[in-house]
Amino acid sequence: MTVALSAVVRRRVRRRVPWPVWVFLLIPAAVELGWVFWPGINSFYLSLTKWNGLGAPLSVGTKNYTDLFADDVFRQALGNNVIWAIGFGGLSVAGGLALAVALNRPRRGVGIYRSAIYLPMVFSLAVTGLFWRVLYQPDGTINAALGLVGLKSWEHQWLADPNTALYAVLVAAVWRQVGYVMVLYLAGLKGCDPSLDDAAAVDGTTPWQRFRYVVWPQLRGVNTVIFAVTVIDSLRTFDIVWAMTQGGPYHSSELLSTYMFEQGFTFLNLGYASAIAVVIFALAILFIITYLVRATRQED
Amino acid sequence: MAAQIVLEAPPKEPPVRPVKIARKRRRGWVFHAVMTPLTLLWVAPMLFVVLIAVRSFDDISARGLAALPDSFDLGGFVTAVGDGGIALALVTSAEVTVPAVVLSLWLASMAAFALSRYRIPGRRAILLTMLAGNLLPPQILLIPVARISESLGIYDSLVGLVAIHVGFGLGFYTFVLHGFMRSIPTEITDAAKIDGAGTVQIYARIIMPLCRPSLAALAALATTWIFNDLIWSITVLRTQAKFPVTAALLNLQGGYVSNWNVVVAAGSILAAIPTAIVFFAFQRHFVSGLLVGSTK
Amino acid sequence: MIHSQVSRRGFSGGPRGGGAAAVLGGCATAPTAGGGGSDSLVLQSSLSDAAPKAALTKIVQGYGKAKVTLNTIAIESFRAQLPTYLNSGNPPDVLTWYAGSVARDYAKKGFLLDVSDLWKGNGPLANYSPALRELSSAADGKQIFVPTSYYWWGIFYRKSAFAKWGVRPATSWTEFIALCHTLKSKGVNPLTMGTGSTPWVASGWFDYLNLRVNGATFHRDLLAGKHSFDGPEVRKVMDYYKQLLPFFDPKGRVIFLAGCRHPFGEPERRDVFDRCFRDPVGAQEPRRRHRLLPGADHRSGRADRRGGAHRRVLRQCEVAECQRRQGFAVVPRVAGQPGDLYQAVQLVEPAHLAAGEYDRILPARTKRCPVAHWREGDHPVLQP
Repeated sequence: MTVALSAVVRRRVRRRVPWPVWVFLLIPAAVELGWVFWPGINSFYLSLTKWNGLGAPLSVGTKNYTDLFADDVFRQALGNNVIWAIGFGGLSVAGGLALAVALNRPRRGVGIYRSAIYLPMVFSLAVTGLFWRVLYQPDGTINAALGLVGLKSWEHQWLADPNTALYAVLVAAVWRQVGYVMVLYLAGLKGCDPSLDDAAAVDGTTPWQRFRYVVWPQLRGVNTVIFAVTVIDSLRTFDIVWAMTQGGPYHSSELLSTYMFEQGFTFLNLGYASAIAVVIFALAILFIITYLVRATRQED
Repeated sequence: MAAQIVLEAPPKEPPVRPVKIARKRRRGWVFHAVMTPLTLLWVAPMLFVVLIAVRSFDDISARGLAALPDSFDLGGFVTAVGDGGIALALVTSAEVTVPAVVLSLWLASMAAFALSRYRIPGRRAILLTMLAGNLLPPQILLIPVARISESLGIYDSLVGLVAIHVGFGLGFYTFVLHGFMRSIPTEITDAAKIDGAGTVQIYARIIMPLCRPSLAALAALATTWIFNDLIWSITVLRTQAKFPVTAALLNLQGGYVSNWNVVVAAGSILAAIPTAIVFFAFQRHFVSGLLVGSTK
Repeated sequence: MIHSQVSRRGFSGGPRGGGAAAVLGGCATAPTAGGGGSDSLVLQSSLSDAAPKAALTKIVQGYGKAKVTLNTIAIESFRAQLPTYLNSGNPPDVLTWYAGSVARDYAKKGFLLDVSDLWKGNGPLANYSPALRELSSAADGKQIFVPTSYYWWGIFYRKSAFAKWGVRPATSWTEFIALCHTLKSKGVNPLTMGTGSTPWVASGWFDYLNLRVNGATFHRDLLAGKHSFDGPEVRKVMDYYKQLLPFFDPKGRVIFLAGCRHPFGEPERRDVFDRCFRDPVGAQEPRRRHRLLPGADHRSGRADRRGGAHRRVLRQCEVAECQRRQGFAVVPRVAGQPGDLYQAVQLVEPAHLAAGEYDRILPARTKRCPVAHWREGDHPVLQP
């Protein structure tokens, strides 16, 4: 096919969008609109009301939002969420990337290592939380193991201490997430051109230089996806915290999502809870859109 | 087919010289010395759960959770399957997961196809909006979603549960598939168009087969998510007999007293088996397929 | 025991065996339910623990005329879904819930039906105490509840352990504190606080002490919002509370109730444990274990006279509305061995209580909880 012909065809083909394409787009869009955006709009409306789930919501204007910013617990949850996003996102991305790089080349035993690291992912977050709770118990495995290796003084009430509860939950969450990020990066690395890497190796570059200047730029697309997944997951983290500490002690492991759930379904302040949800949503949008708009613009 | 060949090509090993081989061997030793303990550490919590699962209740209560097993007892599994209804719940989970995964990937691939291969006005905004839908915290959608499924008459039915899974996963799957489809060279579809292929044929005969690795990888991910979902199933379902396995597991755990070996250990092991199988069956595709397109 | 049939819209054929349902069960049917409801009924229950669940299952199986579907939903989910259940076009016919302001609000909005005919004349609930009746009533005075059980919050001790240590149960506050000191000196952490995944359990101790320090009227008024939580009376309560702080087992604050290992190792001890859980009175006779409804003892306010096996050092006979769950979560025991806990928990660092953070750990809803039937002078133990 000559270049000229191809260009002509392309222009003709692209001039008009055929109608089946619109159908292709509109059906999924309608489904998402109905199941996600419509309820989303509903909860945005609820965030302007006072409502306990039954009867008619009472409109209160923006009071929920002004209350929110005067609410210590909310501020603490927001701060925890920042720690969480950095800790959870940073550790799982760094760990996942390191493992993916280490386990990328075929070697003996690599399959076993990969599978083992991924395996936690098959448990649901709620279940993960349940059994990490057992590990963390005062007479549970972690303390027993510490005692065994002579670190008895490190034994600790991990989930009961406001200073450690958030991090204890974080460890469990990262434990599960690392395998997932690793798999995504493995997929990305597989798509990298190995000849570039080899050429650079022949040129006498260090492994770090090769990674930084040869491999990393090729991972841009995967990074976009992983960034999206990480932000979504860290802002939406709920099950594992709820299963392990329910946000306690003293809201020390409270995240926006757990606080929202507590307000909404324990205290039945659905309007207030909706306002928290709107904040979560706005934050997520802020991160993702800034990043993605930049990333997709670069590609165009 | 050029794209696919590139995707599945194994990474080439560079030619090695004898000195390099020696260094490699040493590095191999270091590699295993680091990875083996790390892997063991990773597996330890799961091993621990398995150990609890096979201990008898009396053993656990007398000697504590952290003790090594003094008994071997599969009673936990028997209880979970029998009284706990985990067997039935696993079937329900499959009944929900399979249609939900198929439907959501199908719809997402259609949307991704339209957005990636045609100059639809505002396509980037549409894509990002669909992805944004995934950012809504599900907890707050619970009550509106329950209301909507009620008004559609699918509250407390598995159809409703499938529908919500499809709606909620679409954004992310579309986003990923869009990245992949963009990477397929336009020449391939242009050639088909010259041969007179219509839009639907291009989608079904050309794009979809090319996306197979990506679809397989997404299917594995989606299965993990949908199968492990808890919050939607307790939202749109009310009848205990219709509960999928995660919700059933939650109910096994009493409010005040809990049999670790039955609930958390045996139940969660049983619940994890299907997702483990799916993952390992798809593992090859995972590594060969997911997101490859978007790196290009 | 439910003495006779509880019949409502075809929900007939009385349970003969009795059950271990441990909450004030709500009987609610929605006014919108269709007429076809007579041949099948749905009982939505949050009692997911093995014993109450088994008992309810047995009751449900006893119904011949109507097919009763029992849906047991873990309480966290149940609570989150309750508005949805009630709002649905085909709501559950009967559901379990807790007496109190939330139920009253639902009744006011027309989501719970009037069951006052059960409380009248020869109705099965007619002989219940006025206190229970009041708790089961909506704002308009009609009954919306069928109580299925009530229980005490108390402090329990193990007789064999006390015998081993050579100590005797205390009968006054001074003795109690002295006893705690004695046990502490023997290397035993005397108390455990059952703060579970929600800190409300710590308010059990507060209620307990407040009722004795300031009396029932004050307690009711305080919860109704008529007094300040920062006032001198409450501070006095906190002074008592503070005296207890050194005696709490530090491990006792960590373990999640539902997540802890079985508290009693040997079978003999487990038996005791089970009994405590089912009937905190610790009645030895098995038939009393499943006591569904309070009897005459309750009316006379002498609940503590029942069940001699475990005499409570302090006792509280209160069907507190603020008990969101079927409790026993606060069954603080005097004495036990470290790690021997069945309640425990995260959340309340007693030091924070003493530091004046108590208003925070008392959930807002507590303030709306009148303690309906508390009587002045019933429990003189604490009166200085």
